[in-house]
Amino acid sequence: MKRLFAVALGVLTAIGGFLDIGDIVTNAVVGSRFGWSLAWVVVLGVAGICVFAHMAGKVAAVSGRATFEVIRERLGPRMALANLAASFLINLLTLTAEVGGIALALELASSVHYLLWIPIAAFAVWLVIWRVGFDVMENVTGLVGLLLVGFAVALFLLGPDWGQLGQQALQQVPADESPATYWFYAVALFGAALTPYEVFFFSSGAVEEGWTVKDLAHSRLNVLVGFPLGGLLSLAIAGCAAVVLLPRGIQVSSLSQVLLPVAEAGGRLLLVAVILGVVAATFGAALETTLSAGYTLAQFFGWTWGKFRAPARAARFHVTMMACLVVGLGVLATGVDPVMVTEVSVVFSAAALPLTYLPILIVANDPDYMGRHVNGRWLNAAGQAYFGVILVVSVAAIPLLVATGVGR
Amino acid sequence: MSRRLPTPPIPAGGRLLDARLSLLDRQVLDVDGEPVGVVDDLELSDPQAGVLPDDAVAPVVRHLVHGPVVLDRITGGRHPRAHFERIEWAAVAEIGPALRLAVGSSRVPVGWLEDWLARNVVARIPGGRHVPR
Amino acid sequence: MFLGDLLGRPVLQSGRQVGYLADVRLHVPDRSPGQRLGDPRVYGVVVCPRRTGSFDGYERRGLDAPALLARYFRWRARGSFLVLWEDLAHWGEPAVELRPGASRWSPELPPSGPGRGRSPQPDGGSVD
Repeated sequence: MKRLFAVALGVLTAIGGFLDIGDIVTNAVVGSRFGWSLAWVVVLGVAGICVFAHMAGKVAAVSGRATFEVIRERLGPRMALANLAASFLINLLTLTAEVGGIALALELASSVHYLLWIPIAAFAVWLVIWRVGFDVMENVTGLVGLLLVGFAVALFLLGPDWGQLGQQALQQVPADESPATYWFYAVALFGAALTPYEVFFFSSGAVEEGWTVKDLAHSRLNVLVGFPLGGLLSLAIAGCAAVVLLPRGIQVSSLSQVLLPVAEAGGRLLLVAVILGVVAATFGAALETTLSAGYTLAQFFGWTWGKFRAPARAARFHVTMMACLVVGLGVLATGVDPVMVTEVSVVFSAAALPLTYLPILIVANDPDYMGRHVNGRWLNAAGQAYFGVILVVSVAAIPLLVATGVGR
Repeated sequence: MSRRLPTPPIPAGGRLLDARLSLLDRQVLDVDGEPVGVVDDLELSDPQAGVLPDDAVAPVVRHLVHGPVVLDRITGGRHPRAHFERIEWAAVAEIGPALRLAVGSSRVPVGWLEDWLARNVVARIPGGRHVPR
Repeated sequence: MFLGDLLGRPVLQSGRQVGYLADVRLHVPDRSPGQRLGDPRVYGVVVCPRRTGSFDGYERRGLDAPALLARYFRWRARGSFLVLWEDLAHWGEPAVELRPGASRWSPELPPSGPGRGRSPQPDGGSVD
């Protein structure tokens, strides 16, 4: 019974923790402009994160080595440092977006201006990292994040024409959008689903929680059940926007527009639940990105790290995280639009993805690390196919960003 | 083109490994599994650097080196060699996905920054000495 | 001498460049008195014709997975060879030099050592 509970808890937190501000905003923007015609990218991206996270979790559980340790070992110092610089900056961008997301959601809940919420949000993130244990942190944000199921409820309450949504999913570029913007948003959606910080966090979390080979089955279940269900929520967000906003020609540019369909379908109660879900999801992601900033740097240099230690036993790790929160705060204080930061961050994530993906794919095949748990034939087929996809996406990301002027 | 080269003689006893593949850039853990650093470089004995006579004795690995030396490996520059933290090879107990030492981290030089930050920043903030729960 | 000062340096033979120093092979003797592992001694050098040709030692470790990447990395490292310590004429900067008649051996690691995957690997033994 206790074991069943642990398994259920793992899956539920994986669903609730799957979405972050990048997923929420990008899916809503895409839904409002392209309907479900980019749904295939969500499916592709979710399958990709399943492959990636599964391998990274496996490497961490079997060898005890987290992702950035592996990157340093396999790529050597020069390439690993270039990788660190890129990953760290993108992670900082994502961290900024998530803290902004918390503040925007709190603004909707309180009608206090979001800029006032930002320092409070950042301080709360730091406090949780400083004082709250890893399990509690994961479970609370994951479970409250489940309230995002409200998007799926809203979609059903809206009673959409499923045939039309299905038709959108099969058709390609809508007539009034250029192919470049279509592909730009394809890249953005892919980047939102496969963000490198998720993997840094997932693999380091496996070490934090002391996973061993015995936990492999459990981890596989979390990934293979939890993430796809989280992906369904992405589709629900896009679906809501497609049903309510697309016909009216409203293009999402703020969080309140993302939530408009929910308010219309479910009224105040559902709206409150979803706002709470957004706060939990962005708060959880802010914790994950902040920790990832510490993880990547500490693992590259071999510092002590982890929440299972007192902060004084991992001083450089904790000071790094504080510094990152301060930088994120500084960026947001300039008044830059957090939604814009989010859109840019998912595209850069997509561009940097091969750098983290390749070392994991290689080490998952290395018997020195993995013993008899090396990748099987099918996982390798999928792993290499995805490496091809990731390379193409990575090469296309920045040119598309420039060519479309961030999808405008 | 792809003519197969002969297999080299294998010395009796012990094992062969390639430094870059199995030692460099690996994490170093102390006897309790606490991280103490990364193998940023290896220091070799150099009885005869330069032109080698026929009976030159091969160098041996003396120390694991960690610290800013990794920047030298990246940029090709040179920091003063005295500034690096060195761990005697004799302290190494096991070579695997990480290098495990036979001694505790208190016996290994970790660098001043961690100590300084721990004492002057982190430990002064309330809760800094407690494990998060 | 630091190993990092040598890796990637040109390798010469009779005044002609034959490649770059990709790696240094060490022989770790069985435990000697008072030590858990013996002192690793330089056994030879792995030379690759291209500066960044050897990635992750695919040409040395008998690894063939994931298949496409393994094939690509082996191809990039083609022409690599091992030269034993006795056949080195010059060690250290600015370059490593081989004796004119140096024997070139297969760079593959012997099948039992680390890197070849057949060493007994405790399942998750080093998980912290």
